[in-house]
Amino acid sequence: MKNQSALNWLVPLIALLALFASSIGLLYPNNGNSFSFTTIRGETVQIWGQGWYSYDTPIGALGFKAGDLVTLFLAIPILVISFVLYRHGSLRGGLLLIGVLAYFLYNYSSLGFGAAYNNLFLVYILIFSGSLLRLILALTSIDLQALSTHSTEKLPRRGIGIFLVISGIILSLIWLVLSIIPALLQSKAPPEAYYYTTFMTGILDIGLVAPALIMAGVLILRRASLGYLLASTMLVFTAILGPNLAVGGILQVLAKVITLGQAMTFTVPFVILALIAIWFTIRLFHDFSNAAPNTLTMKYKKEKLNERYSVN
Amino acid sequence: MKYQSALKWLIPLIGILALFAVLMGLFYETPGQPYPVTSFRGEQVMINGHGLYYYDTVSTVAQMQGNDIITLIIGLPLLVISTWLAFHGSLRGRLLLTGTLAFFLYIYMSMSMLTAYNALFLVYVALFTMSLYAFILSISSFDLMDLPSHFSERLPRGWIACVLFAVGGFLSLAWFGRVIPELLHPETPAALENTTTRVIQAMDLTLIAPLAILAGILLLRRSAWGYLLASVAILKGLTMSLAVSAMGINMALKGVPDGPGILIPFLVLTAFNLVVAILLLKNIDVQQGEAIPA
Repeated sequence: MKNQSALNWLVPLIALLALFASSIGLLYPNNGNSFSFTTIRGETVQIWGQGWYSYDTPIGALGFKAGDLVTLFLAIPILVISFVLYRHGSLRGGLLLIGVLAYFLYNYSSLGFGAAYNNLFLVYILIFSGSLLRLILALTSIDLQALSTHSTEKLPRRGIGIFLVISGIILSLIWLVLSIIPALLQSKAPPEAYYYTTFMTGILDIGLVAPALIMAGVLILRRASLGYLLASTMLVFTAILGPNLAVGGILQVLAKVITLGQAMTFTVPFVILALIAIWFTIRLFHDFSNAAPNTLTMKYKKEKLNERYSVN
Repeated sequence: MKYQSALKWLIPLIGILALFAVLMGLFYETPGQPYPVTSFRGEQVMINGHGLYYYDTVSTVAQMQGNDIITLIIGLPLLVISTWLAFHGSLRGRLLLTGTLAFFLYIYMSMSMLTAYNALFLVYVALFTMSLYAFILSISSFDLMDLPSHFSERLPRGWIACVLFAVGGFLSLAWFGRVIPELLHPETPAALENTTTRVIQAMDLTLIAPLAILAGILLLRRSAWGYLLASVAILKGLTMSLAVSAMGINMALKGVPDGPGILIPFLVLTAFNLVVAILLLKNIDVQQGEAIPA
């Protein structure tokens, strides 16, 4: 199992590249003004026209800026801290690292696949690729059997499971009911795709995040060992994504891009879900800290020993 | 042999939905003619203006319909055959199935993200998700410890690795070669047609090229992961390279050539990929009590 530690350098690289990309997104001079554009679908949309995300819509540009703020001040620090803990063989460090890598994967899929093409494209997809690879390696480095046996009776397992399943359903329904189904009934595109090629947030949320939430919930309800790992991953992920959506909502309301009413409909449900996720994450991590000698340490030490005495 | 039970219903669903999506893409028509528009980046593009792919460009439609044809005549039959073999315990069948699922994953990830939003959006997203989960279930069902012993000593690992490096190297060169000059010459607008960003380049540079190169390296090192990833990459390449060739040929037929500079290397790689795929399948020995139905 040497390859798990072999690609550890990817984490500092992800942190540096994300530091670079998010700083540019935030600090790039805000010259220019937003302007109207008539799309091929005949819809008139506003283009942000200023700052780094000048070819995005106002909602898109401010959403990406909110992502940059959260990446810079929350996700990168968590990435660095959890990586240090993980290197010292801490199980909680490993679980936190996995959750924050899932956030990087999500944020940089949005930028790499969904933001209007800009000069940081290669940086976005590099972070996407690095987080994906490192996430797979980190996921496979956790000893699943030990993880589930180390959780105690005090863990609100049912609460976590039900919460994850409900979050997954709400996430799909929000986009389906408010956006996609009304568009299908009118034989047109949803507003999110008036200007962009397609509805990228819908793809990521309905196609990837919602099924992962539901699956994690079902598996932990069934006490499957994989369920504990996936539940922890999705809780940490939701806890970091929540601030992202909240900051996005605030920026959009302040810039009068959406009304306060719209923010209440779209942003508030996500913020409530994120707050519950933070609460469950704390409970889960507290439970794992009480649990007996930790799962990662043993495997990690074995790896180190193998590395040191390996004949190759 | 115990095989992943979720695959039993995921794969038929993928098959049915993909058949529907492909038939709609090829045969659903609406009246209309291609017409030119200027994109928000100031680029002049031809919009298809009819059919399911109404808001895509003529060039993209030629590619997507080339894709649809290969999915219909190669991808779907291969999905049926490899599923049947896999559920009868054939290792070849399971590797072929994993590769074919990787092909469906690639196609429907790109169809959901790159097709101008149309009424089949949710079908593309469903196919993307289901192929992803089916692929994960399928690739994690192999016993890695045991896998290398199923390959004959005569397996041309060097040649297979060469083809994988060629695929990874070619994709990297082709796509970096398109993006980097634009970074160096910011005065010329990026050639993106009417799309938001470069989805195919993002997918190839982050998923396909690293997979191919990693698989080649691990195979040369005789790592168990190398045998698995190389088989999957080569068998996925089987359908994928045919699809890309069909796209290129279809584009040329419709008078929207992307330049032979891209098409010819793809055709050459397709031929090499076919040869090593056959060599790979021939060198999986079946002596371990695995009945492959004739």
